[in-house]
Amino acid sequence: MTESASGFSDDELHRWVDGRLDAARTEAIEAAMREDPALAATLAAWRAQREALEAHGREALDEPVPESMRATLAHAAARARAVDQPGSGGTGGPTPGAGDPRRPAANAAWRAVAAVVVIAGAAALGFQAGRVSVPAEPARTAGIATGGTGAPPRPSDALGAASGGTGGTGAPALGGVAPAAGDPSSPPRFVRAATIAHGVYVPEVRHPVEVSGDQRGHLVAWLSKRLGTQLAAPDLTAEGFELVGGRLLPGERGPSAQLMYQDAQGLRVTLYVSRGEGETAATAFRFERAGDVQSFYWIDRGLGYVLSGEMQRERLSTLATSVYRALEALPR
Amino acid sequence: MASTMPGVSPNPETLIAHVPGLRRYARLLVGDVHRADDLVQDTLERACRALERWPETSRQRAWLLSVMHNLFVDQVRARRPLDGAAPLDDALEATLPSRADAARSVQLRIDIERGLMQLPLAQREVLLLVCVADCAYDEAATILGVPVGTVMSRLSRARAQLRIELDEPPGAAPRLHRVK
Repeated sequence: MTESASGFSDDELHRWVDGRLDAARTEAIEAAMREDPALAATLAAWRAQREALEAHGREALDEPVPESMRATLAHAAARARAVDQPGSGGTGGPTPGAGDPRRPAANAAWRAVAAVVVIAGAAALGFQAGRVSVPAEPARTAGIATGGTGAPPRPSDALGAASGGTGGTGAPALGGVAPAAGDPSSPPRFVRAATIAHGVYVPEVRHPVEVSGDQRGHLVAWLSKRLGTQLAAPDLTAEGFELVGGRLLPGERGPSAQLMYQDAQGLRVTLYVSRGEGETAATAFRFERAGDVQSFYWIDRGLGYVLSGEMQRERLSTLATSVYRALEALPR
Repeated sequence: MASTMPGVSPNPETLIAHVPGLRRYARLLVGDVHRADDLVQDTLERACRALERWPETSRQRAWLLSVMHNLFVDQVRARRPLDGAAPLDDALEATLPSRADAARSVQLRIDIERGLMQLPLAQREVLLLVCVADCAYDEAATILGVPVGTVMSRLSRARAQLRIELDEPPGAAPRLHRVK
């Protein structure tokens, strides 16, 4: 008990100090303090401590929120929005769960539509992929780059996916977009590598890239040299995205490159470039989705490109078009 | 969007409103601006990875404080002794010489800061939750994952210890007003 034999419990004394005591007991304690100097001294000291603490460190309250904290929240918000929208009826698409389509039929169906939606060299056509109704593919798993073709669609996963992988609603294994052998509708392997790399580096706050975007010339020269082909870092400022930078990654056929862009809200997209996809090969734009990462990919002049982001499909397709145009405009 | 449905992801950007308070609290807790900001950053990152566990708005602050507490405890365990802070248990009787000739308000500020850092971590946390974050006792107990009785006894010891630090005239032998 306290040093004063006051007849009040410790709990009541602290409640008095912290202003959490009811009026009757407050009055009783204050009456006792007038009779008991030791009690009064203790409580006055404690109250003074509290006031000093209340006044202490308040300068922190007026400081602007650091950029890294803003970016963390903005990025999480962007991901939450991107995941909510396709699944929650926000864009008018079918709600997962209602008429929940089952694979493999559903898979083939949405792939077929997606293939029609996005067209190679669509620059000339001015396509608007998002306008075409694509059957909602239920968000398959929580977490990055998951979404295995073998995992059953689960309506609640759109919510779990917003957790960025901690929700435990989905299969933890990688492998969502890996093609089944001989299945021409499955995306090539570099798409999977790209979405994994996207998931790994996009959340990174302190070291998202190896070479930052303010050294654009050096970055492009370095990556071009390592991939053995001339690359470019498309300028997406017109779309509101700045180049964060890039990094070299191990790919199935040697080095690959990842360029990262970020908008003013901290939303990030990555452009993954993989070589050795066939010298003359070219494909249409295709859409792929793994967990909450959505990607457009295409092959052009032997290079595989994957643009990945967690945003509305329409916005991502606009960006993909810009990237394609910028690369198309390069001298060969 | 059915934002009232349990489990529907909340907007992480609403957390920004809590950041200044968290930064202040963290500074007083760890005693160093940069380490405090790292702790806040880690807290936000962890919170954003667990959107599905977010409580309703009125309990978000307490939840964030508890995320921060758990991270802090992990850090303390990972680096012992925690630089700049007293070991967990033997700071109860520690006192430092104070500077009687400093201006009283400056003195109080310095002493509060030093007194805080002299407190065992568990006591410092309780005192900051109650006095700085203005948490109710049961709220502090929830945040720390301990019974309310533990909060009350730590609060008593923290206040008694801090009183010694603040009251002690320079050069005087420590008088221990031990509450318990």
